[in-house]
Amino acid sequence: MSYTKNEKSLLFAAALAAAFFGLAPTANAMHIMEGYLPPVHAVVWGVICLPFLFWGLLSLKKITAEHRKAILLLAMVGAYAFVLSALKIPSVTGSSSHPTGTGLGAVLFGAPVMSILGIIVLLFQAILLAHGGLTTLGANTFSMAIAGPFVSMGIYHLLNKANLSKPVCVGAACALGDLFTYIVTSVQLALAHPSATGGVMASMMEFMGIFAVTQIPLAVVEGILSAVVFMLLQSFAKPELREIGVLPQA
Amino acid sequence: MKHLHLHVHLHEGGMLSIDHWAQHSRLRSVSPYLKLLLALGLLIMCLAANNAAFGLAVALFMLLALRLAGGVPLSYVFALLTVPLLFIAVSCLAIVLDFSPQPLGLWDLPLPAGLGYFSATWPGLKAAGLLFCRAYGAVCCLYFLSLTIPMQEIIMVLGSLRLPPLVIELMYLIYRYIFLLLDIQHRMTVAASSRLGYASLRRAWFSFTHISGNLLAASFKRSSACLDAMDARCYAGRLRFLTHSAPVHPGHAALCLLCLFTFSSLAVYLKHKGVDLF
Repeated sequence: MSYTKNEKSLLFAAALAAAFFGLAPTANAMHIMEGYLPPVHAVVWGVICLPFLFWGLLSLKKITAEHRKAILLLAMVGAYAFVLSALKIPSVTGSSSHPTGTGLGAVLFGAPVMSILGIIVLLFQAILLAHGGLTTLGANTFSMAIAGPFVSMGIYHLLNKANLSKPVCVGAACALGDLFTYIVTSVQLALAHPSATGGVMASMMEFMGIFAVTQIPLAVVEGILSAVVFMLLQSFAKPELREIGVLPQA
Repeated sequence: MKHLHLHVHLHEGGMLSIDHWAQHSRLRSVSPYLKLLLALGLLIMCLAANNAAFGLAVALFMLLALRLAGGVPLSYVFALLTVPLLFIAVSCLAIVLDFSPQPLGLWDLPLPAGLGYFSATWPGLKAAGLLFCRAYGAVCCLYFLSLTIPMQEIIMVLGSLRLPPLVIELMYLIYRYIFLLLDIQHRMTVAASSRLGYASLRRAWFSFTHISGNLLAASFKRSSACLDAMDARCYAGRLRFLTHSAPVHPGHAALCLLCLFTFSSLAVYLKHKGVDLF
């Protein structure tokens, strides 16, 4: 039996997609692994994070000065994001994948604080779970703890102004924040390893294509999960949400 | 800092098995400063040298150090290594395959509808091989660090590097709360599965999302309880933790510097002679 060229390439593409669907999710969301970035990139992404981290520190100081309980609440949210990333989402293929949880945090506490919380959680993930790495900490912090949360926070405020229901706002904000994280990571990978013929753009399209299989469904999952968690919080933790200003004071 | 490790996560294959190995490492008597210096020094050399043979040499050294000095079984380290290596392999594929309008090299995959070709080229293969070896060495350095230095000592070192006290407090608290939340999560999962909460995919999703939400609500409540406990113990805005770690032993320091010196000379030698695998 012989196939035409087109049939062959389609078959190959389908097999490739199936393989990635099985493999890539176990390769941990979009953490860039240790050793993947050249030294210059590692340093530059770290330096880009610095102003955001400084902003985060100031905002952290302000919040903890205003609310005595805030540091404990923030520590809990950080630990929660870590635990959530260590859990496996039930999925059809039997593989594991996990959400980042930073979108929900950005909606609850504001994006600047999430940069500090995010870098701590990413450091813990690198050391305790071997997700990500130390030299890639700057790049990972920028994509997951800075770019994603700021987009999530912006979209949440936009949708909130449009008078949509809060869970819808939270879900859409978290899903789009996740997608933005995925795009930023693809850009980071492409800048570090540009394609020989097509340059950075071609390389970026390749990385986006490879990770799209896992990251787009994951963004939807994270959006739904965040919306459900937010609804549960509304019914179980109203006083706490009022305290941090997400819900209006009673 | 007092540790209340909870039994469920302590087994060797548990969720935080890396933490278990770090806390019980045979290298606990070596100063964390020296271990950090060795691991980070080799990690930076590995990236800076950008040499496949050097990457593999560092990986071999770190694996031997983990096995012989740290007492960590190699089968466990290799099991840990599969996940990062999968990621690296998938990403290497994007580097090997190059998109182009005409066939280029060793192997070409035509795309449907005349869009062009995915081609594997020699430079692409070489770059991917180099990247793989370099990342392998770097990941082994990271594992040496995480399997021999417990988290509270890493936080202590960061504190002595003059990081803001607020950030250090936050790190200690998050580390403590991780175990607390994992315990709550474990109990909720047992409760759900004993009531057939994971019997079907639909039920599993219901259980998973509700446990995730309840966990956050529970953690909010726990943080109120923690504040009450701290107030009862005269909390005035500062948390102080008692940490003690092994002092720097001159023999250890000499050994560490010797390793760093040997590897830096090796990197220079390989660079000078132009020796490489690819």
